[in-house]
Amino acid sequence: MVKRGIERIYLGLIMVFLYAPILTLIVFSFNDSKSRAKWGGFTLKWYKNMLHDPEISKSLYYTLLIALLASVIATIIGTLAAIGIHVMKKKTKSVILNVTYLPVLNADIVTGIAFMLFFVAIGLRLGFTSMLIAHITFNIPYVILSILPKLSSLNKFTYEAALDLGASPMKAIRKVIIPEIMPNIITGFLLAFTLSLDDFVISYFTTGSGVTNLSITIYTMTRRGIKPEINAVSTVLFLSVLILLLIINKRSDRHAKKLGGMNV
Amino acid sequence: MNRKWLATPYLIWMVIFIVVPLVMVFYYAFTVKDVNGARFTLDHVMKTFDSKYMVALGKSFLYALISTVICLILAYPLALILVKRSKGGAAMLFIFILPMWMNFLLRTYAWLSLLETNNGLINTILRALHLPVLDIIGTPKAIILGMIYNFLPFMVLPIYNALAKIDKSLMEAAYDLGANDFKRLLKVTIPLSMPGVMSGITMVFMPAVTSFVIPNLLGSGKVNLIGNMIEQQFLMTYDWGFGAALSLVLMIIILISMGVIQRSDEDMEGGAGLW
Amino acid sequence: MEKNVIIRLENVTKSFDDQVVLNNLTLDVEKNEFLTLLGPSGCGKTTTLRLIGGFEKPDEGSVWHQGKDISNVPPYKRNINTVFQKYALFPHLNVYDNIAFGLNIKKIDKSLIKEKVQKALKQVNLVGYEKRSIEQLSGGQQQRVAIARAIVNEPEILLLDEPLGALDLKLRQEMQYELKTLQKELGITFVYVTHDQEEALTMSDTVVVMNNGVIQQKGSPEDIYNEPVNAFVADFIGESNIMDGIMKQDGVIEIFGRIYECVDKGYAINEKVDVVVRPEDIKLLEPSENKLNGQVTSCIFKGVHYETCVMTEGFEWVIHNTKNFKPGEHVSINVDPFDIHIMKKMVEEKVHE
Repeated sequence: MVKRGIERIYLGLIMVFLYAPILTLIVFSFNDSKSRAKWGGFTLKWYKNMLHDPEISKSLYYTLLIALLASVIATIIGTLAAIGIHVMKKKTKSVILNVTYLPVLNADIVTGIAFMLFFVAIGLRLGFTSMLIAHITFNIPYVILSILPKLSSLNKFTYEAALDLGASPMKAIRKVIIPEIMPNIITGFLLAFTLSLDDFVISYFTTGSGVTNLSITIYTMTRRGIKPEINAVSTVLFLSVLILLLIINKRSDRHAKKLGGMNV
Repeated sequence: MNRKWLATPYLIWMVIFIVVPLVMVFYYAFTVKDVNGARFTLDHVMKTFDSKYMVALGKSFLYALISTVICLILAYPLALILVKRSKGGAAMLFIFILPMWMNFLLRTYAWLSLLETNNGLINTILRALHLPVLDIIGTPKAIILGMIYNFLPFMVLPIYNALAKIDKSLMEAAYDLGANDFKRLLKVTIPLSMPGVMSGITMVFMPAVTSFVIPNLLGSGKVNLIGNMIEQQFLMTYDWGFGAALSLVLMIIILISMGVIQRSDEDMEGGAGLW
Repeated sequence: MEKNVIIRLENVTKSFDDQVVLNNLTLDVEKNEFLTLLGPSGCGKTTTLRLIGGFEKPDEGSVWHQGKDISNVPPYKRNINTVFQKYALFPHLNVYDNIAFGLNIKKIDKSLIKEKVQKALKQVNLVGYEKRSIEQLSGGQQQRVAIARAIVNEPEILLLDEPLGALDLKLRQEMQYELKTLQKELGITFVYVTHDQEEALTMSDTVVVMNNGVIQQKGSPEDIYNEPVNAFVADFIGESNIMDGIMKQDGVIEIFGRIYECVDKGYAINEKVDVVVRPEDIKLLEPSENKLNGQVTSCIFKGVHYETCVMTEGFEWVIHNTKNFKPGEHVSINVDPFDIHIMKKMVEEKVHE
């Protein structure tokens, strides 16, 4: 009983540590004063203002657009890649996977700089396209990594059975493999989307000419003070992700664990 | 048609956007441009051995190491407690990783408000309790706190997964053979969860050692780590060659240390062990 | 009465999630016997074993070890060891360290540990495997390590939870023999759980047949096979022809409207009973007027015998004999009186909620 109590206190303390800054943020998104220390009364004005601020609304637009495009493209390329890599010879497979892990394992700052040097070298102006390419690139490995384990646990004879029953390889993939790995494709997509949404370092080095996402905007603001509207936007985004996750969680109980397990 | 051709678009993408950019880092690190075009040089790489940069590198490793150790000390018991709750464990785990979905910069920035020496919430509470105030903004302590805060979930997750994977009958076998709770933890649970601990260590240490945002925000720019040095080369002094050399050194050190960590754990194959 | 009882389960009831797994079970295990808990999956046999091992606590009732109530004693304080279903060998330790685990915990002198591990390895025929990792071993070898790891602690009682389930047939038969020999050599009590009746009959001194958390019958393998107390036991132990009968008087039974001689006594007149006849106890002869006649529906060669199915007046018999009958052939069913086993109808048990 005592042990149980100590465990609860421990969990509680860590929870306070993890949530204190987030709650502060959320509370101050309702603060009528611009100060981030003093409480000036309750207000919803930051929520009303947030979309009227051109700086914030533009970066929110780019954040969502890039996250959506990058995760959709990465999911398509990554899913095809996973199906292909799965049937490759062991040696080829391990070479490809090792290269695939590079952006995952490498420091974000190095990845970002490598992209920047590359884009400059090929003469691509830093901006929307370069940032999108960078996001797609760092998203693909996560999609592949979400799908590959499932593929190897599949019954390999179902695909052959489909061929045996007269399906063309393409049709067999569409009708047999894709439905089975669908939950993992969705996991990979969501993972890519949230990573994209939250990325700062790589975006920071690959963007230019007025294209910024929320993270970059926040970073530039930290030098001259964060606008309270940002707190409001972030609270909305955080709650949207939370609700999204809860819905997925309810749909399949195991999913949250998997999504959690994948999220690095 | 063979299914392996489906990977073709990715393979092309991979070569162009993963391999070539990394080659570019090597290229910039080892060349210098003058009127005759680019020529090979070792100057950039030699410069990284200047004491100024070595000190920054040393500090980065030290702070990352301290953060990693504290994360491990905090996360292991947490994961143990969560795994023990067979029913609510996964849901509880979700609560502990949820903060990662709040914007990273904002989360870190929020610590500034909490830690502010005069008006910060923490010091207001401390003062009310007649305790000494914390004045750590702009010091390594704040940076380490920021690292622990941001990367703790990365430690909890793999350890939780490793612990959850341990066959329950192994636990019972340890009991059966006379091990009490403590000895069982020491002789069975901890050794069997080592793969998780190792990935946790990599996943915390790696971003911590290369971070430049956390030192910028919580160190108020007073503490320069290797990440800040690299950032400055690209965005302030525009010495790209040297910046590339610094990145290269960092990358090589990271890959080597990760190789060492992975070697010490034979269960991992390729990078898959990280998952 | 207390003749060497080493373990006693007394009126034990155990439920998981409102489902009663053991229902007021009482069982004595005698010192140095090889006792097998036999039954279909979900019958409560593993739970019984886990109660003895200390992995479960009884909801009601108690577990006694040599006159002491050990219901609340944790496993690590019991002088009982277990061979787990899938061996549960520690993957991070080699063969030697797996076997030495329990001794190391007890902080015994290193040289003594070495001696004991060597002896255990010899007992399970694994000398020379000390440095192997667990993954390098075959299923049968892992099995032996699991046994060595348990017996090296010199337990008074060894619990074995379907230890042979994962092995192939030939290896299983070999291990059955070895386990029996080992038990005699060690002179300790074995409590063995299995759903394989052949295994149970081969190795045990005592077989306990369980179903739905209740002991159906406890006895020597011969008793269980020859004198099953009810149709469940008869059906579970070997193949059986089970049919309805009416007891006319002592030694007289009516089956399918015919009167047969039997040897059972003590039933009420006109009591409805189950009648069990073993397939190997039936002789097929030429059809004749006063006998139960039927037609062969199938006859399959099974190696040592033919399995013949005969249909008589709506009942299909299974017969083991050595002659190849042709489907369609007319035959008569012949059984000696002492091979007709009469047993009380099983009361339709209400599930206890």
